[in-house]
Amino acid sequence: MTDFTEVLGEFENLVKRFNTTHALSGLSFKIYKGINGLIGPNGAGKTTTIKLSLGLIKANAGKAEVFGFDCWKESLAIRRKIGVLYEKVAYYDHLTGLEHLKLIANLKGIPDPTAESKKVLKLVELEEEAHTRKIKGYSAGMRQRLGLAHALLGRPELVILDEPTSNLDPLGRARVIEIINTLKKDEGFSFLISSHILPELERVCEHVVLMHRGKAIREGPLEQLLSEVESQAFMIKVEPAAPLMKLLKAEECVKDVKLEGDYVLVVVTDSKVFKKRLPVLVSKAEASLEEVKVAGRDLESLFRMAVS
Amino acid sequence: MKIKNFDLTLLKADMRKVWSRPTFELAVGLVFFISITTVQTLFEITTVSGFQSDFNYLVTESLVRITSTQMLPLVILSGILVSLSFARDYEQGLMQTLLSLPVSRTSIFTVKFVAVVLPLTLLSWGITLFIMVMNYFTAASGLLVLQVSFWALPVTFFAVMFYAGLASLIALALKKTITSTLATVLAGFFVSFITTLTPEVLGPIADYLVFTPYAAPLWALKRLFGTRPLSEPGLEMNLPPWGFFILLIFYAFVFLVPTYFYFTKRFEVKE
Repeated sequence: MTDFTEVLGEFENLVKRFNTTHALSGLSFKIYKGINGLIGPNGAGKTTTIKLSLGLIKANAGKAEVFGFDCWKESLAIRRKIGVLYEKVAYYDHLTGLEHLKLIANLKGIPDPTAESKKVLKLVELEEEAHTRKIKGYSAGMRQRLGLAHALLGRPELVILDEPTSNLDPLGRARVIEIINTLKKDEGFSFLISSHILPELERVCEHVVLMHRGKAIREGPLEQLLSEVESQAFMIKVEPAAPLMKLLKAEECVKDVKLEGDYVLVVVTDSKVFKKRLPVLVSKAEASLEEVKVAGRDLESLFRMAVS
Repeated sequence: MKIKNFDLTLLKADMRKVWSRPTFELAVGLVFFISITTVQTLFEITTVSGFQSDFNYLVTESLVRITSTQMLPLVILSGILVSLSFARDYEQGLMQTLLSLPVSRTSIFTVKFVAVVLPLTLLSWGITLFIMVMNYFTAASGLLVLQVSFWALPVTFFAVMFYAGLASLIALALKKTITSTLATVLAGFFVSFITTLTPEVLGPIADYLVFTPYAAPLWALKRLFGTRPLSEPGLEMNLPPWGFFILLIFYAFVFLVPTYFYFTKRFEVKE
């Protein structure tokens, strides 16, 4: 379980510009011990945040600290405590998986590189292939698991996974998620997982940060955030939709109204008032109500609600 | 095995990556072919020349020409390979992985640079020594051949260092494999091309071309062995042989040192 008293990293009002593009515009959030999810669509600023936390790029403004170290000035100290798997994963392809891991373990200063490499290969279930086959012959799934092993070397205090499943087929994704879950339960690793594939994160994360356009729009324990969706977002199937949407927008208890396929997504501030007002508004709009349901209790709905 | 700021295991892995097939075979073939074709010229001189003074002049000139011909593929290769070593790793993501490890940037830069320059220098030296041995047995003045060939070793090394330094700066600035390789090759050709320009084209500035990074190594050899130009002596006679060697050392580090700081102080990080 996430320990919300132990903060591993803290970011405050981070601003990062690439020429005229604002990658981060006042990002603030915390990383806790446990499984943290950094959620957002492509271009939300997730990878920029990860690179920034490792001192690979410098913020234009704001404070970025991991393990109490400044991310730019003391990045070497941070890198000693962190393992990373990037979305764009690259290796010394002419080596076998084991040879590659031994090289990285050696660079990390791990006392027994061979033993440690074998140990992490076992954790990611890549023992057999890694001993004999060169990396250039690996499938995408094997490369991703090798990347995970690479990130786990030396038992880092925080493992950062940037889109760990984005290049994989459904089976490969399920396997990686399963491994992360096992590592969390059995080995007690702390993770910061960035992804735009929300259903998978839902299965592993305990604390989530929702990012949109370089900002954290929501942050908190997953369970708590999901319970907000349950009580605040509704999907309405109505014919015709336009007049009702117009009336809903004028309601005080309604925060946002959006058409999503056949449904009107309504985010409310007070669900009790909304439930009372809905029949009145439907009749006023002279529409026929076909279905009303609570929006799914999932990250996708949470994200839609937060963005709205 | 780890030496301060230098990891031999990483060097080995990087060398194997940069010099993988067919790069190694192509490099050896190219340098060897170009070098070996010039041996014939030297052999002809040794058999037809009559007077000793002419003979010495021609042998020195010919050996310098061997170095000159060998230098062209070497400088181009050093440019391309360094460019590949840095820029390709940025493009493929390996550089990002290495930079996220608890390894100093000095170590990464040194390894990547040495992984190209060391094998290339050894390759050039190997071939120079091979030619030296061949010439020793075929040329009449074996000692002179030995001397010129010996001094050709540091000369080619400094030339490789210069072009590798230039290439690393271009690669780190552009971070694109194709673009930086093309830019480096063009820069290499340009530096060698300008030495061929005549006073008719450049005017009085042409005299200074003897001090350019391509011509200076060759003049270092010529001046060392007292070869005078057949035409009117130019500015090259104002600089003693050791002066040319100091110039070569300057050239070897002129791009390397700024590039090192550009990388290790993270100025290369794109803003």
